Amino acid sequence: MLRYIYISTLSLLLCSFHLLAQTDTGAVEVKKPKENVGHQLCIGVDLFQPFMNSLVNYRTGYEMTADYYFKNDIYFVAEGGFGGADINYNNLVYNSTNNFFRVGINKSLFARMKPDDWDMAFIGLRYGMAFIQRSAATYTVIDTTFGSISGTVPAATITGYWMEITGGMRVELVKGLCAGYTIRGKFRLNDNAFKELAPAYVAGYGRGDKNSVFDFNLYISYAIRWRKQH
Amino acid sequence: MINNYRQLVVFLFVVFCFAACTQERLPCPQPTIMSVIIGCHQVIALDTLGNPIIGDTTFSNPEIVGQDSAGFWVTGTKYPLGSKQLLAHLSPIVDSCKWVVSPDTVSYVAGITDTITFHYQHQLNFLSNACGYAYFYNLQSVSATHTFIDSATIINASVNTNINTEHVKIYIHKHP
Repeated sequence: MLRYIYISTLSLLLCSFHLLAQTDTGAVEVKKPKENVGHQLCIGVDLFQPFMNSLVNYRTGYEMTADYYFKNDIYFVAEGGFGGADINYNNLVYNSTNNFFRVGINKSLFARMKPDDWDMAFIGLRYGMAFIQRSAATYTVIDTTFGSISGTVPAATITGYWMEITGGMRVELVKGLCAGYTIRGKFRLNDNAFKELAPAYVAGYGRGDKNSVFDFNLYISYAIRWRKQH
Repeated sequence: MINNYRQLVVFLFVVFCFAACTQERLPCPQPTIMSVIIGCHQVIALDTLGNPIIGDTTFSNPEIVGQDSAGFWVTGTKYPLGSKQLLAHLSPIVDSCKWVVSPDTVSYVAGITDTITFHYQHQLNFLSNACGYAYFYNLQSVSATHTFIDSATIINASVNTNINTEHVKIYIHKHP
């Protein structure tokens, strides 16, 4: 509570100084205190996708993440991974594999309590790309009245693009070791490429036959920190 | 900033509980065999100008039986008392299909049947990974014999995943 009072008071003071600076033509400048929180590079692996792989037998997905603290509670984020789908149904048989990467930013929602406080709740944006190889598919239209019909769909190479809105949190469990989750809303940008037999699962994106999906990651990560040179 | 991570643990527990319910195969929520929906109608009265007023009609216990491309009868469907609509699905192997309609299979009178013939084009469509592929149809024409059917008309030529649209109206000139 004291922290919020402190932040509110500080904000009001800063605003007052800003207004003062506008009315007084003399060169009154209020400089924001320079950050002295150092650098942080955080590298993590996702535990949720392997967990889902063990539950859902037609898909595999593995994901890694890295983020670097820029400034003003903004982090640059790069994520990547691989996976695929293996469909072996009575009416459809094929498999697909893909690699993917995502880049974007996270913005911490709350101010630090102290310089070495790296816990955060955040929102963010991502741009994702996946490079998908789908094998030739064998389909059967099952018709018990007039007789079933089978056919083949040729193999295809598909590139998928999407945007994500993310949100989540991360806490430091012990020195440098962090855990957190990310919830993602994903919106595909090139639906036309997925009209003809969209892969059942695209690692990094989700269900290939959906234009928008929700996803979740649970990361365990390690933070490497170093001080700025003065 | 976050003094304890109890919230995180509780959240993850809930997520894992939901995730544990995930199915191993994607469920298919829609039919993969598209059927022509045939609505049964009848002139119920004439207006003051002598124009017919058309209304829905029902059959007692109708049955509809298909005929394959080699002319063999295939499995039919019996409908309950008071049925207003009949379903006839089409063969993707050929471009025309016949279905024989018996309006009343309880108090069955021999010879009271009519044959409806559909002419159509078919097209293969990808529905989803869960449902696979299915054939959609575009009705070109429909004709019927005239034992109890007065006429048959296409009102919606596209036979696809929309199961709420009547495709063909048949007009009954009298109850058999």
